[in-house]
Amino acid sequence: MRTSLRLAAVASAAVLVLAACGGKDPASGKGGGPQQNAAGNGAKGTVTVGLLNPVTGPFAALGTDVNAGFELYLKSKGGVLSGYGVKTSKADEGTDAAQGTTKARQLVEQDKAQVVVGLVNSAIAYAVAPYLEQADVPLLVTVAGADGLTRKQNGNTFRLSYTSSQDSMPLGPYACKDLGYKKAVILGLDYSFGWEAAGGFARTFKDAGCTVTKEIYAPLGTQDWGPYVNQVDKDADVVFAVAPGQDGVRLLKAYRDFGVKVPVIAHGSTVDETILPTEGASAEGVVSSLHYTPQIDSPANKELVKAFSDANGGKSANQYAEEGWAAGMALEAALAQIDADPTPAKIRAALAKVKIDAPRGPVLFDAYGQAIYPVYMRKVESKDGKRVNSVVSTVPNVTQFFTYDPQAYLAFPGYDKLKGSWAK
Amino acid sequence: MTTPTSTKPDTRPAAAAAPGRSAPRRWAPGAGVLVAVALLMFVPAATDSFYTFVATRMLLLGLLATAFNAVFGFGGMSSLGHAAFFGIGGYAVGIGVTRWDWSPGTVLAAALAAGALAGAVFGLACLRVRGIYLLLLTLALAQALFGLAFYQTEWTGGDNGIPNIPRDGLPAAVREGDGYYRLTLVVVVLCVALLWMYQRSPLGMSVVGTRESESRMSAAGYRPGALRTVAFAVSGAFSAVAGVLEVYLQGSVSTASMSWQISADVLVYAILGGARHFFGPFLGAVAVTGLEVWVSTYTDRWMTVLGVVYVVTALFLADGVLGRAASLLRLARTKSGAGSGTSAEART
Repeated sequence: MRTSLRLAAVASAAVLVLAACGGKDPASGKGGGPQQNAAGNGAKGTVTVGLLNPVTGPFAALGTDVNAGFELYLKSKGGVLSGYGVKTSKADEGTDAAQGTTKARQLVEQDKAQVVVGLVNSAIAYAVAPYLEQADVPLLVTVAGADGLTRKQNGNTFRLSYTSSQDSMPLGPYACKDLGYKKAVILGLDYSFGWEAAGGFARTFKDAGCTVTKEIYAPLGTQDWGPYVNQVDKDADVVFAVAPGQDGVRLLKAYRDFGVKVPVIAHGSTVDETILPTEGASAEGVVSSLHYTPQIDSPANKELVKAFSDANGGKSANQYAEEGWAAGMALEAALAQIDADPTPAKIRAALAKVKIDAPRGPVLFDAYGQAIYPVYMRKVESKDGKRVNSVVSTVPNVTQFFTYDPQAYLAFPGYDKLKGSWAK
Repeated sequence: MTTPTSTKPDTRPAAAAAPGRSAPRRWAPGAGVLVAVALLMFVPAATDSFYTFVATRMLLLGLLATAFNAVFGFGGMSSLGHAAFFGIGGYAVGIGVTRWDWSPGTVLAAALAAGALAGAVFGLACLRVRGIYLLLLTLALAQALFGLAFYQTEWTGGDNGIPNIPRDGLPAAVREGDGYYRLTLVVVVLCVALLWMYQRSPLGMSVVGTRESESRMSAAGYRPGALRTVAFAVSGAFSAVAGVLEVYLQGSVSTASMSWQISADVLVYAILGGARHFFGPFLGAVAVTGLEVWVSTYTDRWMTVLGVVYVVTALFLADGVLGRAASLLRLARTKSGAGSGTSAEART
C-alpha cells in the first residue's frame, strides 16, 4: 500500500516536471534547450541581446509583457535589426538581487550578451547596474523606476521607462491650473516608488501654487484600504493616488465602497491596462498621467496595439509591452549607426545618440541616460463596452527633471526623506 | 538517533574499505576534507567566471546553512528567522563601508558581534516556546527587523537598498572574481571548522543533550535555557559572516537579504541535505543553489521543478541526502555480515 502511494507520488512528480519543461516559451524553439533564440540572417552579422525580466514572482506579468513587446518587434522585423541578426538570450530576473545578479552574470559571461534589456524590480536594478558598468555592457532598463538609477552622466545605463517621479510631475501643474484643484490629499503605497511618485506630484503641485493637506501611506499589499480611505479630508478638492497592481484595485474599490466623493487623480500605473479591466467602474473618471496609453492615435502605436492583441488573445497593449517594443526600436536605431562588429562599447555610444518615434511618441535620452518623452494626461472612459485611458492632454518632451534645472534638482533631498513633509 | 559522546559507537569500515584498520580510518575523514579543500582552490582555474561566481555563493550559503543547523538540527529548534542574522551581516557591510569606511576586519568583527547579540536576543525571546510557536516567534522577530530595515531609509535605503558598496578595503589579490572566491573559501572553511569544534565541544554536546531531553539535562545540573541561547548566539554570529561574504560579493544590500524567503531557503537546505549530519545542510545548500542555476537555464518553470524535488525529498529522504546515504551504507554492511555499526564520520 505504502509502495503504491509512493509510486503514485513519483508518477505525479514526473508529470509535473514534464509539464514544467513543456512550459517553455514557444519562441525559443524546442523544449529543454537553453533559453536562446537563434539569430535571423543579418547582412552585417549578429548581436546577442540579454533579456533579463521576471517570469516568476509578483512582477512576472510585467516581465512577460516586456519580453512579449520586444519579441513582437523583433518578429515584425524578421529577427533582423538594421542588418544585424538578433540572438536573444532570456533569463529570469527573479525576486531578489542575488538571483538577478546571478542571471545578469550568466547572460554576460556565458551567453556573451552585448547589451542587456529589462529589469523590473528597482532593488535588483540597483544591484545589476554596477555589475554591468564594471563589465562594460550597456543596460537598457525597461521598467525599474528608482530615480537614482539615472543620475550619473555618461554611464552605461539607459532607461526607456519612467523614473518614479517623472510621469507624476506634469500632473501637478495640470491639476492645479487646468483642473482647478487647490487642496490635494496624497494616498499612496509606503515604499520607494510610492514616495517618489507622490513626491514628484507634490513638488510640482505646490510649486504651481496649490497645497497638499495630508499624506496617507499604506503598506505594500494592503488588503483593507478602508482605514486609509477614511482618513481623506472631506473638504479636499482632489486625492492623488499612487498604487500599482492589485493594491490599486483594492484602493479604488474601497474608495467607492466608502462613498468618498472627492475626485481621484493618479499616477498612470494605478489605472494602467493590466488592472483596468479588474477595476471596472471604480476607475471611471480617474485622471492620470503616464507616458503611454493604447489610445494614442499614431501609426506606430496602432501597429503595436494590433500585434500585441493578436499575439495575446485580444489582451490590450500596455506600457510594459510598449517599453519592450520601444527597446527593440532603440536597439535598431543604435545598430543602424554601427557599420560592423557591434561591441558593447559601440552599442553604448550609439544608444546615447538614439532618437526614435516609439508608439508613445518621440523618445531620446538625456545626458544621464534617462528617456525624454511626451507624458499624457489620460481619463478613464467607457468606449465600445470597455474602459480605456483616453488622452485629454499631452505634455511634450518631459525629462526626469521636468522644468527644473538638473543641478538644482539633483541637489534636492531624496523623496524618501521628504515623505511626510509635503503637507507642512 | 544516538548522539555521540566520548564513548563512540563501534565504527566498522564500509564494505568497500579494507576491514580491521581503525587508525587510518580515523584520519581518513580529516584527510578527505583537506584534499577536498585543496581541490576547491582550483575551481576558478577549472571553470569560467560565471561558475566561479556561483561557486562563491554556494560556499557562503553553505556556511549559512551550517550555522543555521547549530540551532535547527543540533539544537532541535526550528527557527524561521535566520534571514535576520544574514541581513545583519549584510547591512554591517553596507552601512559600515559606505558611512564610515570600515575595513573588512572591522566589518567582520561588527557583524560577528551584532549577529551574536541578535542571536542571543532571539534565543532569550524563545526560551519558553517550542515547535511551531518557536517557528512563528522567530519569524515575527525577523520580520520586525525586516520592517526596521525597510522603513529606516536614512540608514538602509529602504527597499532600494544600498548600492555600489566598494570592495576597496580588501587586498587587491582577493578583491575580484577568482581571488574573492579563494577568500570566501578560506573564511568559510575557517568558520565551518570553528562550528565543527563548537559542535563537538562539551558545550555543543550539551546543546544536543537539551534537544534530546531537557528534563534530563536540567536534572543533571545543566541550564537548558542558557544552552539554547548560546546555540542561537553562535548560529547568529556565523550566519552574519555569511551575510558579510554575500554583500561583498554582490556589491549591494537591500531588504531582500532579510526577507523571510531566505529563512525558508536555509530550512530547505538543512532538510534536503540532512539536518542530523554536520555537513548535511552544506550539501543541501550546494545542491539547491546548483539546481536553481541549472534548471532555470533551461526553463521558466524552474520553481515547479524545485518544488517537485522538495516533495520527493520529503517523501523519500525524510532524513536528507546524507541520512539516506548513511542508512544505505548501514544496510549494505548488514547484508555483507559486517555487523550493525553506525558510521561515525557522518555524524558529530
